Amino acid sequence: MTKILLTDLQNSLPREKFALLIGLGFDERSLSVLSSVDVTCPSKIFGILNPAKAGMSQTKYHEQFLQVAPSTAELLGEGCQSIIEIVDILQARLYEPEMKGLDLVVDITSLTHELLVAIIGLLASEKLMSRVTLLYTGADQYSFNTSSDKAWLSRGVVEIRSVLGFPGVMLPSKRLHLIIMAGFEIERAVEVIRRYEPAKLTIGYGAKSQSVSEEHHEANKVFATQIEEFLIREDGVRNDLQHFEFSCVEPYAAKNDLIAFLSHAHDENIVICPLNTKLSTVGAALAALELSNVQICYAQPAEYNISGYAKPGVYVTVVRLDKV
Amino acid sequence: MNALINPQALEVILEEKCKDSSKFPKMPNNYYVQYCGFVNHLRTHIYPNVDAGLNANSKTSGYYTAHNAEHFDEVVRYAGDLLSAESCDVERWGVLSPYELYVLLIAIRIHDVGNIHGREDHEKKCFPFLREHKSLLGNDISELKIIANIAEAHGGKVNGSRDTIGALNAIELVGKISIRPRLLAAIVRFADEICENSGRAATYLLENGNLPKHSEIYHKYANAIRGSVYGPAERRVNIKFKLTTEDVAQAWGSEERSKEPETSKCTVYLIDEILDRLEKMDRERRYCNIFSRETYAVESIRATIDIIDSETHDVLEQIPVPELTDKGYPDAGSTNLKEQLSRYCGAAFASKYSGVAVGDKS
Amino acid sequence: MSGERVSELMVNPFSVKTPENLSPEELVDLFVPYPEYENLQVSGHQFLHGHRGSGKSMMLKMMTPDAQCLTLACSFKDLPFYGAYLSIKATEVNAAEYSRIEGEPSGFILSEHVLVTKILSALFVSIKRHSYFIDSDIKYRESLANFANSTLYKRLRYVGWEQTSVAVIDIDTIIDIFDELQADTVRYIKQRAFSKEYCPYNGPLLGFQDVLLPVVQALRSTSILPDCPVFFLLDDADNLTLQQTKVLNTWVSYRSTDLVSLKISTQMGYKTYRTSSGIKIEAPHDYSEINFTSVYTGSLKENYPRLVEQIVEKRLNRVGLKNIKASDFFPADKAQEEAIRIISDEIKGRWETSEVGGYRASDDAYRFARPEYIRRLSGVSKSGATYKYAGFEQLVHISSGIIRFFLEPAARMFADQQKLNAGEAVSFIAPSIQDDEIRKQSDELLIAKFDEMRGDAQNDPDITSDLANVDRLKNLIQALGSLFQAFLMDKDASQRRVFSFVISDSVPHSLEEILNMGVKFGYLYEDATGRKTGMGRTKLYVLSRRLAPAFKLDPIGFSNYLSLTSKFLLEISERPNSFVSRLRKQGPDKAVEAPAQLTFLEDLDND
Repeated sequence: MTKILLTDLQNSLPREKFALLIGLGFDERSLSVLSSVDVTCPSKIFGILNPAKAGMSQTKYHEQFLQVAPSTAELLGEGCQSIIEIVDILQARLYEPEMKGLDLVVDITSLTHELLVAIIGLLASEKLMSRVTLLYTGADQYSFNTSSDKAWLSRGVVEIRSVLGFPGVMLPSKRLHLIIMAGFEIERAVEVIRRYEPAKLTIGYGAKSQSVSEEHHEANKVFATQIEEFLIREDGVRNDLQHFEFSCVEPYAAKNDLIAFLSHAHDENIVICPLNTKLSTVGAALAALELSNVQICYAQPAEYNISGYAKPGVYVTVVRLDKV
Repeated sequence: MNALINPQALEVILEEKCKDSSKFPKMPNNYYVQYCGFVNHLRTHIYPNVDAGLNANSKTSGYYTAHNAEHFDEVVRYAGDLLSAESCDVERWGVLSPYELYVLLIAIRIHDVGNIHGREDHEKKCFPFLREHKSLLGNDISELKIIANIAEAHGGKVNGSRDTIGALNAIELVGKISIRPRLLAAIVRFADEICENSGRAATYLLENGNLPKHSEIYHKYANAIRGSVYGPAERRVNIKFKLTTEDVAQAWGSEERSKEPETSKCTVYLIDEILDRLEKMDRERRYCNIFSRETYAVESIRATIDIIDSETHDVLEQIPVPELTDKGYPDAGSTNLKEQLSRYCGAAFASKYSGVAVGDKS
Repeated sequence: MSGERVSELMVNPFSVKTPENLSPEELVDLFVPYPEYENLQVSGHQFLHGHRGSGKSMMLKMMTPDAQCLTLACSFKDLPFYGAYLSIKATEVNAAEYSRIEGEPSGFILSEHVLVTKILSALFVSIKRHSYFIDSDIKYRESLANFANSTLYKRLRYVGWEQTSVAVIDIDTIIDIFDELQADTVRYIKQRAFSKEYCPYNGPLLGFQDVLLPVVQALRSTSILPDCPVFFLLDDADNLTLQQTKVLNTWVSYRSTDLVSLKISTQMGYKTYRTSSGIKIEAPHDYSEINFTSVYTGSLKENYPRLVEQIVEKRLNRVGLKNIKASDFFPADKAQEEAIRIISDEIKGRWETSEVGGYRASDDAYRFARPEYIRRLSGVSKSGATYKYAGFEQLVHISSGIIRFFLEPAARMFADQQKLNAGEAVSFIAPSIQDDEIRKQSDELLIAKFDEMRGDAQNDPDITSDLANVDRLKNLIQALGSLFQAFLMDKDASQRRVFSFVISDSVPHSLEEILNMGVKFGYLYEDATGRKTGMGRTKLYVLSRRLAPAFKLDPIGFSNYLSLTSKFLLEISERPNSFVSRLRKQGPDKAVEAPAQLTFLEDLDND
């Protein structure tokens, strides 16, 4: 994993024989990667849309995408309402002759956590992981349209479901252990906890040395504590509450942190809810690929802070998924 | 092999209907080819062994009436009669949907193969059998379970209840194609019921007195049936029994029938047996009608029992069996044939013929 | 284990701990039986409908053997029924992968297999938990071996299970078998997650008739289960997929209840009542129903306040606050109650001197006094005095018949009072704290819930129309709230205390969808009444009293309802502003009439 300036990204990418897949959402960072590379290099460019949600367009950037990308570029997932539809379309494309043997470079910045995890599942199932490189553009500022004490990224929870490909095995003989990889969204975390009503709860937050920044780490800890306080206020003290720390910046480290933590979990039905960075979510997906009984769940927000979600930073993280 | 030897009317119709693959759940599959391959496999490898298995593996070993290839063909034929199927009118026939026809035929073809492992619970062995042969039938176990459930409803009990057909769903969806399991099960069951005839009797052994004692009555019964026909126009089953004086004159060996342990009843008079079986057939008729009524209904059974001279075949006496049908107010009296025809039952009537020599007309 | 844990309830007596995490002793201790509880305990399939928090999970858990043995003080073998509990929500039966399988040939058979495996697994887990003697008593060990060899293995093999049987049979072996069956199924569906191509399932296929029923029968006849009916307690069945729901309905249509009864709870979101054949199951022929949703139906109407009182006092008792009455722990605002009493005397006096109503009870006067007090307060809006939603009676009414809606705010109030008391024990909740919390809850309901609904509308197969319904419902609720408020505030209005309405004409589908959505999300409650109008049974819609603070309404009992037309309701859902302005100009009685021409003119005004 390396963290480099966007302006240096081109040098880190192959010169040829690769497909570039760009996650397009409402986030300004949707086009950061595309704007920083030579679009003639990839053999093929795809824009991947998140599932359509009523009241919100899938992306603000599809026209710009089509302008910047060459004419052979394709948008995948227009009008699709479910993850399954988008994954099926992507899978069909991967089988096309022109895609044979190509490396895959995926900009995951603006994908929802759910689609990100599902795509990792797809790539693993197609045995393409060794050819995959993930890109993630950092943010300079989150919730830039509010003051920091009123910062919000999403609100409300519409539905909670397992992610395609990661249903886990939930046996009546075992009790439910919910692991929240906490981020900045308290309400979402609390709602997941309420709906699952787990017998055991773990709240994880970014390790100090493995956070995006010291401020992020402090804020993360505060939010994790706030989740606990909220729960205590509502429901009383939980005697079975645990904590653990994970890497927010390095997927394989996050994966190992999770696996290490779960090595102590026996006879439990494990559900992981990743609410931290996309890179740590990749870690969760990698962990669940190894521990196939683990479920990854996704809490769909009712509303996003579309107008001020994040200001693009200047750094991009490059992660190759070829580690066994 | 893509063809059948001696196809019955329903099978001719199936061949025609399979041309429209949109009527089947798995469209690229040719269901007729699949059906032929399966039936030919049964004929070659399974049917020849069913009788042997039945006789060898049943708890009460004996010599059961034939459950060979002819039996299965006959059930298909009778099912065709119930459904007014004619080989000459395949295009217009639409009593069942194409896929239902396929399911029905498979169910009939396997309904008694469980006998290969012995009579006990034989009807419950259809699903394991189909699973063993799934490669011949499209490999979809869920589909095979649905077919097996239909076949298995032809006898026995489900969770202690005789209402095996009622335990099925009225409508089942296989992909986008819907079928009517209860209807199909009723067809299998009743076709199997009326399909007993002289061809199933072990004639040679009967004549030479070499049947195991407790199997005698079943073969005598089968042998006495000289015709069993369903007429769709009248909606009636017509059965003709022909009994010789010898058949009537004595009691024949059967399995232990007595409910009381102190008394033992291992012999039965043939006429008594015929009347019991007719009543059973009538119960089956009424039961199956519940589920088939929207499509067809068997309204009555007419049986004639002729006692004939074994040499001349002249009819010496005809027993007036009342027509078995739904008539009168439901709780008015019973339809107990043996009560109604008590003068023809038991030793008293048999003794009438025990002194009559063959060919003696005086 | 439970002895070492500090019970959360020791900290906050109103903590709403999920029933699954309660020990049997806690469960039995906290449980206050609704009269419907008696009905649950007879054989027969039943549905329990209630919003989250209405107490249905608690009731189901009370039917498990541990709780029953404690309650009835009986031994395991003397149980009147055996309740095996399964929370559908805590499983993966509704994973996204199932949507692929359900459209495929014979998806029903696989769905049935998934459910049977889960339910039998839960049954054996329950047997393990409650039948500790199995492993220690030789006779029972033999019974278990006998059961496994003569029935279980035979049945499993029949449906395609291919493992060799284990020599040593104990309850754990059997649980392992079912765990493996479930894991196998999940492996298959995971395989299908990224495989659009149909590939058939080749594992065993357990069914209701061929495995579940015979297994239960055999467990009874070998005395592993007591000789009594088995109840499968399925909690939150809304979480089943559409096809799984149809499978369950098909089971409900079987007459298996002398052996197995299904007790199914839903949160008002049960997907369909059709079986796999397309036939609808119906009450009372196939099942009976218990509704927790309407405080106006059944026993809840009279008994709910008493139930809450018992629950509160039990919980206070557990934390050492003995002999405190609920009404003392949640006192009303004294000054407010005094002021209301004065008005009540005024009213009584007026009645006595007038020709009408001199005979009315003083209770009535008090009831009329409260809305009058609210009305008078609004006239002195700048004075700072606001109506206080405090006092046990008000809190009970506001909770709208759902016990969680009482306990959750109560838990928050307790926590706030604790903070205020700074270490001193809490012996009552100050009216201001009560009021604060109730208002917050009301605001949250009006604002936050609608956002949730916006998303749910997309996912819910029953709510077929587009998003505009959510906005229409929002408008409808706002308009109704304003209307009821206007009635309350208008001294000359024909009726002062209105909180509900009936629809006087036939309801078009578009309106029905909006109203159903309102009921589903707890804004409206349904009740059937025919009393006043004298014409058959009409549906009565009641606004949730949790919204009372948002619209400055009196939450305590009323019998008045409005008769509204569909046209009127549709209109206010589409054009709330024009309605509100008409309301202001003409007053509530006139505004309800909605003459066509006037409406048009009002629209012009507002453009």
